[in-house]
Amino acid sequence: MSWDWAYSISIIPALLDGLWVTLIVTFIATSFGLVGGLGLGILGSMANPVLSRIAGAYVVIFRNTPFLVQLYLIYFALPEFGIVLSSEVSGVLGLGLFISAYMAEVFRAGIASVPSGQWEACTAINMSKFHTWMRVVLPQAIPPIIPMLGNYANLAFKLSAYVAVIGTIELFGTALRLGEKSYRYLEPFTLVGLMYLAVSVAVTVSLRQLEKRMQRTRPEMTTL
Amino acid sequence: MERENPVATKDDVRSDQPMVEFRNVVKRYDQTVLDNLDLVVGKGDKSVIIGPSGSGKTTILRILMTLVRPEEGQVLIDGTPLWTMEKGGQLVDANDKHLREMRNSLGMVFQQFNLFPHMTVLRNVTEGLIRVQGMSKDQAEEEALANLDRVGLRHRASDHTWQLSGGQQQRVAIARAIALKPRVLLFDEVTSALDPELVGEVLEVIRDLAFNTNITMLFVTHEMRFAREIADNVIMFDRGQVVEQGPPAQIFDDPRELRTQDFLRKVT
Amino acid sequence: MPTFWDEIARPLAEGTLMTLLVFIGGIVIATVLGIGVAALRLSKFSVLRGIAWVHVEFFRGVSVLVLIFWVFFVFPLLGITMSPLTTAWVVIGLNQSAFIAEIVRAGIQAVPRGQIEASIAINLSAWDRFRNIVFPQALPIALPPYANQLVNTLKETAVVSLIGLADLTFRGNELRTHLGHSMEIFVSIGIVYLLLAYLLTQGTSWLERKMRVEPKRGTTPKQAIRLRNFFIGGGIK
Ligand SMILES: Nc1ncnc2c1ncn2[C@@H]1O[C@H](COP(=O)(O)OP(=O)(O)OP(=O)(O)O)[C@@H](O)[C@H]1O
Ligand SMILES: [Mg+2]
Repeated sequence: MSWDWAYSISIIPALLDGLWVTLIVTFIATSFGLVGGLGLGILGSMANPVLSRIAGAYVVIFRNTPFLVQLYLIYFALPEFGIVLSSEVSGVLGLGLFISAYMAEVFRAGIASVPSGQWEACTAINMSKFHTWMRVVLPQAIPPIIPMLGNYANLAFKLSAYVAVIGTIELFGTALRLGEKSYRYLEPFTLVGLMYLAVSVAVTVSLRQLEKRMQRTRPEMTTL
Repeated sequence: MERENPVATKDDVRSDQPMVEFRNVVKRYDQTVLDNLDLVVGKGDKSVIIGPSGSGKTTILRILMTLVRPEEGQVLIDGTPLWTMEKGGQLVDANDKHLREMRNSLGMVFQQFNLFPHMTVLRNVTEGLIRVQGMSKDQAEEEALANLDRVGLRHRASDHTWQLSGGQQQRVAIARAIALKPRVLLFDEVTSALDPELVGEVLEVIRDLAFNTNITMLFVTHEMRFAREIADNVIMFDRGQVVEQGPPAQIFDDPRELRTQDFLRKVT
Repeated sequence: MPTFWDEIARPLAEGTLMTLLVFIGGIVIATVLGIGVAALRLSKFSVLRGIAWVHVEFFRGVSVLVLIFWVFFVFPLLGITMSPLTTAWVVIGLNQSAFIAEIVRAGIQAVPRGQIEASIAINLSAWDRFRNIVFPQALPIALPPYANQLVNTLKETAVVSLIGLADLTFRGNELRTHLGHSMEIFVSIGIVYLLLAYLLTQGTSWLERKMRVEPKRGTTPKQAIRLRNFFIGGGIK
């Protein structure tokens, strides 16, 4: 079986539509993940043992089970309780919940790296808790973790292909459909693979660039 | 397997013949660190390099230990080029095999000791004897214990390195270096990472080696009193070149160059 | 009324075994390959470094789901036939090798430069330097992120259910279509994955404790010496 250029070109518009859906799914899920992760990260940093345990349990559960199983649970099990969500909504929700568990850890670590003296200084000038978080802690905690958050946005992008399994027609779903229709898998899968690769590598490389700019001194490279 | 030593016998007799020679050596990082350096160290001599911080003293030792390659010039160990070799009648860059042969006559003690933390004190010393000199384990341990004895740490042989004080760690590092019987031994500010009360024990060990062996030694140190005591030859080094050199009495008591006078005034 | 064992527990147990089979094969390939790629990544030859870089960026960048479908559907068209299990091993092995290579590289680069310099100063060969000095010190550094990657690999094995391998996720989905009760089934499956991940984490942290060369925090070296001398006395055995 050889590569069919005419067919490849004919499917590109459909694939680009799929890529657009994938980007939208990724964008919504990542935004969800950022908000959820920040919330969980703050909960996890709290002195209150109940709240921080809950946040911890969430992170452990969502990080130690397969994303696919989580998706199935949302898409197949929730309707048994009368919660029927479309495949798109299930997919975005699942991806957001999954990514927020990863981002929670990043936020928690970022918050923990703010020196305790900063908290004490805020208490000393009688700043409110809310202001301490908003004006002092988070502005110091967040910038250093931006590259890490970017990495997880990239993970969300790659994982978004799974939502095709529950029927969302995004990039990968489009390839599956095309394959089933034409019995040609070589072109759609290869093109889709290249599209994922291109976006993901571009993101990785620019994140690394960002990271490099953020840390001024780097150790010399070690060769064996 | 014992590697052959290209550079004659191991036990050098003191003589005026050069053991280490730098000829027009240039080393550049962002700036030129060694600027056409010429330097000679006699066989069996104990030479001390002094000079301002950042002037390139460590770089001299690192070039000798084959840790960094100079851009230009020649470095000779007992007349044999270190960084170049002859191949088909032509001078080419030294390959790994040549460097390993040359390293047989070289040893170095580091400012930060650099002991291997995952090995016992004894293993730190036997490692080179077994892997490089091909000794049997028993033979190597016997040899290592003798060397640990020389630095006064035979009784700590089975300890982990982190159980030792800094001074003791540095003494183990010295034992590790001398066990391999180098002909040239390099010391890079070996006491400057130590607490003041631990400096004495390390200097004591070095004194013993300096007075009782024929190993050619090259020191970089800020311990001027120590330098005066053991040095045959003091080399004042600045801005990539030797400013002046001579016996300690002359350099310390009667320096000819203005830069040496300035430097000595600052450090004492 | 179908028996619990035959209808539910047995398929899940079999699925768990398949998941473990896929996991073990995949992680063995990934680890061996990952170490090799890390070594290339640190080579002094830029061509080898380039090859390793491409390997890492490619397999980290491409989604496993896409990769496994590509191999599963496209390889036969190119005349290469592999069983689903082999496909799973190859794909997971390749994909994870990229991550493991980065972990190994970071571990090796975290070994202080002075260690390499000291081993040059005692004239160890390049191979001995790596084997006896760098690698043993990189190991405890790389172990925690490696443990993390083991769990990621375990989770990733669920993808093989989509090419028809009867792993835990596949069995769960099968039970769902036969019996309904999705909530119970997927929660149970989730718990099995959690348990497996827990075992992996515990196992590696046990290894990590065994491998640690330096004393635990809180025991200063001096105290450690005193304790040691108290119990065994100084001197060599
Ligand atoms: N790996 C390197 N990369 C870039 N510059 C370097 C490197 N190593 C040394 N240098 C520079 O070369 C110069 C000489 O360094 P060197 O360590 O030889 O000085 P030194 O005389 O030993 O100083 P000190 O007394 O502080 O130890 C310094 O300016 C240093 O910044
Ligand atoms: Mg120095």
